[in-house]
Amino acid sequence: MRKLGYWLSTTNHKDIGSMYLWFSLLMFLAAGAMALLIRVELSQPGRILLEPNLYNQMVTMHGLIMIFGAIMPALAGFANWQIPLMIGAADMAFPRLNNWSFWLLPVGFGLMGSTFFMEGGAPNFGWTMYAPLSTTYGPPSTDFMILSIHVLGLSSILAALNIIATIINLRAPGMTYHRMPIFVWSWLITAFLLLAIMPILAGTVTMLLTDRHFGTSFFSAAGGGDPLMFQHLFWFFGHPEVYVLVMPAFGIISEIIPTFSRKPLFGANFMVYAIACIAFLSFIVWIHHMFVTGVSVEVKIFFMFTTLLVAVPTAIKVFNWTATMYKGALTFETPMLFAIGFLFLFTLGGFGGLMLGIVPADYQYQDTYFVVGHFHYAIVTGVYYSIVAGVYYWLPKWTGRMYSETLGAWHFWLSTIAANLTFLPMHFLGLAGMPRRIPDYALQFADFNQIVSIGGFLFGIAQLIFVYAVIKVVFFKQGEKATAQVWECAKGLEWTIDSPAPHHSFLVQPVVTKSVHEWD
Amino acid sequence: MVLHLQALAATIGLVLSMLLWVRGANPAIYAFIACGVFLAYVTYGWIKDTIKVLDRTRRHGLILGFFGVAMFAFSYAMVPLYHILCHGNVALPESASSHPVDIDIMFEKYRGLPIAITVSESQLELGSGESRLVYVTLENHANKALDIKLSISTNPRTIKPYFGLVTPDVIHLPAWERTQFPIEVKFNADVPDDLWQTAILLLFQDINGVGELGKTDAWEKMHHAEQIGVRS
Repeated sequence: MRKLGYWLSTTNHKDIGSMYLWFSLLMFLAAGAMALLIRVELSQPGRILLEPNLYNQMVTMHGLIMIFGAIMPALAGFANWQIPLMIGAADMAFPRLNNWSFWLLPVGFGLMGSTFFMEGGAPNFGWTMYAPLSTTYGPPSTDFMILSIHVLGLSSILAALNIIATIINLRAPGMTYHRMPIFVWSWLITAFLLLAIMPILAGTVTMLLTDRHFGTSFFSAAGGGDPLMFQHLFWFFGHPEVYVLVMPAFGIISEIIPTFSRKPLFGANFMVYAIACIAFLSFIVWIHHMFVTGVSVEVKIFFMFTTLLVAVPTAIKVFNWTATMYKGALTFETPMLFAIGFLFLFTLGGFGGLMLGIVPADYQYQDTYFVVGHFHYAIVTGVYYSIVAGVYYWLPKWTGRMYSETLGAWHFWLSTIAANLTFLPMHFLGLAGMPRRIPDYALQFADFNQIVSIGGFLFGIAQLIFVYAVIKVVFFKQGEKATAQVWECAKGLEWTIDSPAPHHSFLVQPVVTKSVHEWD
Repeated sequence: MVLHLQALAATIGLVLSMLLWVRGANPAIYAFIACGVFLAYVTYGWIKDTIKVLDRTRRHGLILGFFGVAMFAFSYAMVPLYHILCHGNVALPESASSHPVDIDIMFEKYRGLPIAITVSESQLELGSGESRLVYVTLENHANKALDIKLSISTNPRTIKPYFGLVTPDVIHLPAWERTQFPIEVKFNADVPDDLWQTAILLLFQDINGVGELGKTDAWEKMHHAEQIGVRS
């Protein structure tokens, strides 16, 4: 009981970071199980397991839980653990607010999960919640989903506010903005982005709520509103949200690649500019999700160009990571394997994004499995890979024990084979015309769908290896003892303290004299 | 203390003036605006004083919090912005139309159906929720009985769901006979505020083949309908 009280009231950034990460793992397993149910249903044409309405509920909840429950909390966990350690701060700027931000999450997901047991079932209109599917035709549980999004949004806003205040005010003496690690930079920009977009989502779902119950017609043509406006508002939030997920991932990869290349990060300043540039561009690309909704040609051309423009800063980053590895003394520990996997596969996902950004081509790809394939390459082999890489990279610092490299290598290779088996054929299915979000399909899509389902299950099994490797270290304290430095060429303040990181990180205020990118 | 009293007075004034405004007292809008401006001024003063006494970290937290609130407000500001940028008008979040709508009643018979048609009223003025009966008289000028179907369309087409039109199913009209029947025209639901005029077209056709929509003689020939008895 006392332990429960401790975790409920802890204000230590490491504890809260750990809670974020465990919660994220739990949500990842839940939403992953839903993905597997979806794949069972799609493993053969015809009805296998799920009734179509339940299938739609699974698709909706898989998306919502993965994005808001698994990926975002995992990245927030990294921010909580690493930012104070990396900038030499004692804790986050608002520790109690930090505790509250975390504990809002279980409340929000409790609400969201409860919708499965309500009359009419859980929301069934996809994570994009398009009106009028979510207004006129939404099940009663939609209101609970809206409330849950408000709670989760508040949690994200408070976390973002805390991160910005921490980075601006609590840096150690000498830790100028120029000397800050890229991970911290990526989170500073991401937090601003979060603070700008989460209230927009809150406003949009509030409009949904008032349309459903209070007689307004924001999204109802019958009352002078416009359902298309929902798509504009949603994607004004939704596209930057994708970058909220991706940018901290960029930060993690930018920490790992120099360590295992034994070279400083190539063009570190440009990496920061590129992240800032991507953040800015993310606000002016949203209509690429709506090319087929009848917007004018001029608007399409503008948004096509801005969308394609995102490729420039992204290419700078990929080039800089590659240049960092060039002529480096590379070793391939698990974090590096996942970082290289990220580099290849995220770039592949990015190419899919370029194809989707081209207006005439998008007419063919829109609402097909091509989009599903592209998105999963970006989020699974992009963001998820970087999260896994980050966990392997910093796990020895967090726990004081080394993980098993053998298990890590198995995890990587199985995951990579499985991810490609799962998400690559989705592109072919999409090109052949298979629509997304359907519980059944025409016979000609059967073969590829079978491969995708097999890949999906293999990917699920591979993640159990990861869970086992982490539990082995955290709960059973198995594995070699880690030194303070852990990795030979890791740079930064977090490597100057003991492993595991003590409850009070810095007994003496550290003084920073040079950037982590300036090596002797 | 003074600040609290000022804020209380401004809030009460705002609520009262809003109530009066909603009840139709037009000058109340000026009181509403004045109270709103005063409340904004008081809030600004409060924020300024609070920020002054806070340490740097808390000040940043507060400013960032206000930024979040401002972005929430921006999501609502995007509603009129969207309507202006995409439709060239302002948003109409309220749905009720307060003014009546003029409705023209027109009729047409398909492919020379041998009947004479008259309607009791060719123009109606209906408000939201109102209804009216229009009497239609048909006279058969043929030597055989006709089974006539009535289809109704509206202009613009999008307005049709607002009408509750009660019409007969099939009208059986013996040779050289006359019949009269009512059509109830009513607005089921609130109509868009920018609709001032609409038209209803009554289209009569023979269900026994002659004059069926879209199926011309050329169509008949093309599908060899006579041989295979599609129209039997």
